[in-house]
Amino acid sequence: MSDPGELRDRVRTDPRTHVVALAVALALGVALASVHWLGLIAAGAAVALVAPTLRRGVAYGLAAGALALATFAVGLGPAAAVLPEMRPVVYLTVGSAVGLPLLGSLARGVV
Amino acid sequence: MTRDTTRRAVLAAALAGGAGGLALSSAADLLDTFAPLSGEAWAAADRPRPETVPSPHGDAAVRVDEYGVPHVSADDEAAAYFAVGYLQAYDRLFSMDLQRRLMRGRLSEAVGEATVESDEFHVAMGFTEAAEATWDLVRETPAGPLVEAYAEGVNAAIDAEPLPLEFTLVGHEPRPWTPVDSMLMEKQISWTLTGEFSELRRALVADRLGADRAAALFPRRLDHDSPILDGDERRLGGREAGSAASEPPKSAAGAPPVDADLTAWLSGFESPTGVGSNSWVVAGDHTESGSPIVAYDPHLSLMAPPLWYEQHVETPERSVRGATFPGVPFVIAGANDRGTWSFTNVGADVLDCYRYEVDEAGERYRYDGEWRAFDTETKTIPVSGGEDRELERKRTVHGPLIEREGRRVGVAWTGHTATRTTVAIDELGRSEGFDDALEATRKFDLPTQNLVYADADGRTMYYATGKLPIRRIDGEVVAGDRIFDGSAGEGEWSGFEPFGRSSWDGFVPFEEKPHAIDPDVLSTANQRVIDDPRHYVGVAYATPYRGSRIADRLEAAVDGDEPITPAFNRELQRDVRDGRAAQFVPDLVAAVAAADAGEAGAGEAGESPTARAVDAAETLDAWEYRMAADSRAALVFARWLDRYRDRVFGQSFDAADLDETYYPNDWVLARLPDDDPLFDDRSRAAIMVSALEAALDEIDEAGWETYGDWNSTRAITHPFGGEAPFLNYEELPADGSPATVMNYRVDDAVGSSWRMVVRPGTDATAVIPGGNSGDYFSDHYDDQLRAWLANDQTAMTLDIDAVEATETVAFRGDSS
Repeated sequence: MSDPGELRDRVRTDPRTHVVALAVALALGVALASVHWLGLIAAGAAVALVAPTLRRGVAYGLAAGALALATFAVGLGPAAAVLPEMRPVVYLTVGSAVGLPLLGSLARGVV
Repeated sequence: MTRDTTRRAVLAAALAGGAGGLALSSAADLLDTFAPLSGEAWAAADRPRPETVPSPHGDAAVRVDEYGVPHVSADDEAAAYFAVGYLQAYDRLFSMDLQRRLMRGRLSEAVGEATVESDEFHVAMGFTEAAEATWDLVRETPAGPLVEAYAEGVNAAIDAEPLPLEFTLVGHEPRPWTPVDSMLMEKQISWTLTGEFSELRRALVADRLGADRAAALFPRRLDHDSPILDGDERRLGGREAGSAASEPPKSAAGAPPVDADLTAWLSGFESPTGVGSNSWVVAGDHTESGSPIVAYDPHLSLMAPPLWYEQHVETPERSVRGATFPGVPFVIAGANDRGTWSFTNVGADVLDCYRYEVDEAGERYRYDGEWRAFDTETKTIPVSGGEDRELERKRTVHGPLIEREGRRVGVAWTGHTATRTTVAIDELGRSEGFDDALEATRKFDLPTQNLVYADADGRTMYYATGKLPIRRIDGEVVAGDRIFDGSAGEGEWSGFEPFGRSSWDGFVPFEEKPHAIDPDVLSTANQRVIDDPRHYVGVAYATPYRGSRIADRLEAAVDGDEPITPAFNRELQRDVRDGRAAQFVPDLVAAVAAADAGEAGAGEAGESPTARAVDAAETLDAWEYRMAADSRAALVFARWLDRYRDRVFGQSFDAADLDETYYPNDWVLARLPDDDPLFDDRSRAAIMVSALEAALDEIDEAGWETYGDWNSTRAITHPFGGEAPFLNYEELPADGSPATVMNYRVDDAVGSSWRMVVRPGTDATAVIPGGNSGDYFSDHYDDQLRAWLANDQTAMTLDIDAVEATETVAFRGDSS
């Protein structure tokens, strides 16, 4: 059984493992975000942790936010059409979808 | 190494601080509500109409049409009304809960300190106790089980459906619905239409301006010849109405005012300015098809979602479609397979105010030669985020005592007793002709309304509904537009039992109320009912602008053999000619011309009008007085009239410490003689010209081009539209003014709140200002707004099989 450091390095460097880990992290992140908004931060952290660099981690965090937003819009169904009119609350919705995963992605610089 | 550790520490701190800070700050509440995916608000976006609903009352089938109108059919009436309750709650639960909270005095429990005074008023008035007394009466009638089934349906929806968005925004959940809540809705609309303290204001104005000036500026009878009834209509028993007048009741002069602050405070809980309506009936002799036609549009508060809810119910006992208020099971105004009925406000006086001799402790009042203790009860008003309030609710033999900062006034209102209006509208829905409708009308205890009826047999009817009190002082009949000495037993209502069951023995008998049997052509627009009523009705009538315009056009159509069709009636509902403009504009144009010609006294301080004022006068001179959204002249006139009114009344009324809510109406303003004391040191023409210059300043500054730039749907807002503006309707230009048949009051958000045109037994059309759903995410939230602006009505069919269903709901009974 490999140690955690070795596993971490593998998901960050081995392309195949990396893609799988990223997919799992995105799925996990969206699932957490569906439970609580803190899940958006967790989603950003999860995807960033599998990134090879901090910069890539930040980009992954933004991608996780975009995926959460897209999942949200699809989940709303026809009601999504009125979302852009829901000012100002829509700014909070979109802002949190971008900002919270971005905040979470800072975890890549810690671990 | 150290740098890397520091960087990690900084990033870790930023992450922990950011997440922790958000979680602990007020932003967390907003994120709880609006974050993508997890936000609580989004549950409200996913509210598909259920396909099946279990029902304890049996099967009911529902077809929802392309405008979100539910068409309910059932073999059992209770099954149908369980479904109605469910569907109304699905579409309008928040409105229902808000109105219920308002009337119960529980708004502050949801929204906090801002509504404490409203709650204090509503608790003191005891609307809930009046609704309870009403339910005790209604539950014993055939309507009772249907109201109960309706309440069960509402509660089933509360339990099974996601709550509408507004509940998440406010952060509270609805309590179970009760039949008393439905009775409260009856009280609510009745209060909106008849709850007014004009006698208090009248006494205050007389005190401040003097009795003579008050009488001149606030005449008890407006000088016009367009009452609803001419007096020669056929009455019950075949008699004609004329020459039945007894000695006219004495007027109100002389009663000292109640405290000005208390008067102002109470006035804040009256209905919005301009509440009124249009309705008319044309008998089959004058219509193209030979069937009578009824046209109706009630002018009530305009809001998102609308006040009214359209529904259609078909059972073996009824096939009825029309508009009701969410919370009320039965169609209020609409049509069944035999007849159609509509209601406009009479303006009758069914609320009296009393003063009392009260002991120093404020615990007893003098009555019938002795001291009596007030009937008191301590009530708690819960306040969200604040300290709960205690209110000592007091009553006298007459009804509630409103007490504020040591000032008191007793109130008697016909709604403060058990009333049978719910029974009446249930019976109207099941009526099969004239006799049934007349019988139902007898039970319409409140509010006082101009009922206009027609049926497939060609019968037509006008009847003033509601109980009309008879007051006496020392045995002599008097009018009610005064403050009575309650301690002396003045003006008491015989047969009235506040918060109990009244015998109504001392009220105007049904047969003696204003009415007309089989009228040929009759229209109502809240103007004076009849010049010489047999009994005092009231003095709070509307100006005659709408009434005379409708009567004139109907008369011209009948006399000119113009075919009267439903389309003609819908076009008449769209009439935007403003009678005020016809009164004012010629004088205004002449004043500008005179000032331009340098005639002495025409311009203020002898000034010549500006070139733009001369241009504006030319535009007005060429205008046909139509308050159309694309009219420049209508814009100038509307803004000028506000300025002119302020300039005429402002000076004298300010000096008397009376604000603009006390200004006389525009009919009085238009007919002020040149030598009226208001023009003592000023010329009427000069005021007109200076008001025009001020209006043009305002128009230029605002950048308005046409009437619709100012007269828009911006006034039609949601109760939370300030905090969540997306809930308001789109801003669109609107036709109409406060004085036009197509009624729209942008300043008060009042106007045509429902329009319908019905040929009983044949066809009908209607439109609602907005949409039938209160769910912001529904397609039917605002899908009729543009059609309403254009009065583009849609078919209101009673053939349930002809309904093209976009959705269906199956209510399944136990045996299904």
